[in-house]
Amino acid sequence: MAAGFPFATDIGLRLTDIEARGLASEEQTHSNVWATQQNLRQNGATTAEADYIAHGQRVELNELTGPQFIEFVETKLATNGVKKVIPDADTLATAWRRVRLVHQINDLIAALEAENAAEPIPEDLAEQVAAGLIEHPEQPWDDVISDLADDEVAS
Amino acid sequence: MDSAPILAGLEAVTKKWTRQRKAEERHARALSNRRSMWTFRRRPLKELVVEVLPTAWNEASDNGRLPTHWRQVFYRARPLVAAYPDAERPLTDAYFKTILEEYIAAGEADNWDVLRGARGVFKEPHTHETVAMSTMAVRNYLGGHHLELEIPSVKSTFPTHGAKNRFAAVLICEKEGFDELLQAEHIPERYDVALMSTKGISAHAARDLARGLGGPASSSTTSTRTGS
Repeated sequence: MAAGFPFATDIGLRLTDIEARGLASEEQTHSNVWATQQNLRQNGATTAEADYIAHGQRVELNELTGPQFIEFVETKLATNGVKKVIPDADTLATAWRRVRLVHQINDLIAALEAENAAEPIPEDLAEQVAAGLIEHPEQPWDDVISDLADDEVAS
Repeated sequence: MDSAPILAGLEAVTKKWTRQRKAEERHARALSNRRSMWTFRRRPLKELVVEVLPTAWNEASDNGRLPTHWRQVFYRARPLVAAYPDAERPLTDAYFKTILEEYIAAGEADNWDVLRGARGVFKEPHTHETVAMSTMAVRNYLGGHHLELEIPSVKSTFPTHGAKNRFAAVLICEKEGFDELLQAEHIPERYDVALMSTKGISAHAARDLARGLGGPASSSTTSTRTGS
């Protein structure tokens, strides 16, 4: 049934799901009922499921309403043991040190922003940007400003 | 005895039935027209669809609480229309979409959050931001941004690539249009699952990605799949 994904756990609609939720089927035709049954059986369908489909019935996921679909997926995830990720102890320790550093850096950025706000802006900035765009037409205006500021900070 | 008038009469009487059978031989879908072929006073399909649309929408979207793909609304509307014995013909998805779009354009469904699948992409220069041309992606692009002129803080999110330390399973759905619904109910975050849709086909890239994520490097990954 998990055609193309043989390594996956199939949580698609089964006949029991259809019956439990009272979902309506729609008609479809198969030119060779026997071959369809065999193919379905080889791909994991039960005999009843293979008969159901081979004899011209199917149920699309769209048959489920929004709340029904969510309930269906949550039930299948829980049944198959899907749980929130918790990394190993080494990874947790690395993450702890890293995130402490991140908070320290963010405090530093805030302090530098306050200091930078008092710095004067070049009076001919618009002319410098226009000149930069003529020299490098593939650049956006903010890259030109970045180059100008980089030169100013370096000097 | 001259048999010609008898044969001509038989042909005339069975003409409609013959046309129906030939249509069925050409397209299996024509079988669904049998039920209504002898109904003489039929109601236009559009009239019936407009009549059932509010009910179909409320059923599919939990009374408007959830963003809902138009096909889910179609699946609620189809049996409602089919229940009318005087429907002129069975409702198809393409015709339903046409009527739905006209209904929305006429302002009859202003507060309906109807989703359509992506058709193409939009790409910005320099930022390389790419937007899939779906209802939700365009809405997020147009309305989801407020410009922050301050230097962004360094993110505390732990760097990961692939399943390891990030997600527990891949939810592969062969139908499109369910991602927004799953996201609206925070299924990816609540269960740590990645979402993959394949437009009804098993593409090589999708198989390679799912297999790669489920390999020895990410043995905790369980690929799950749901489809029709």
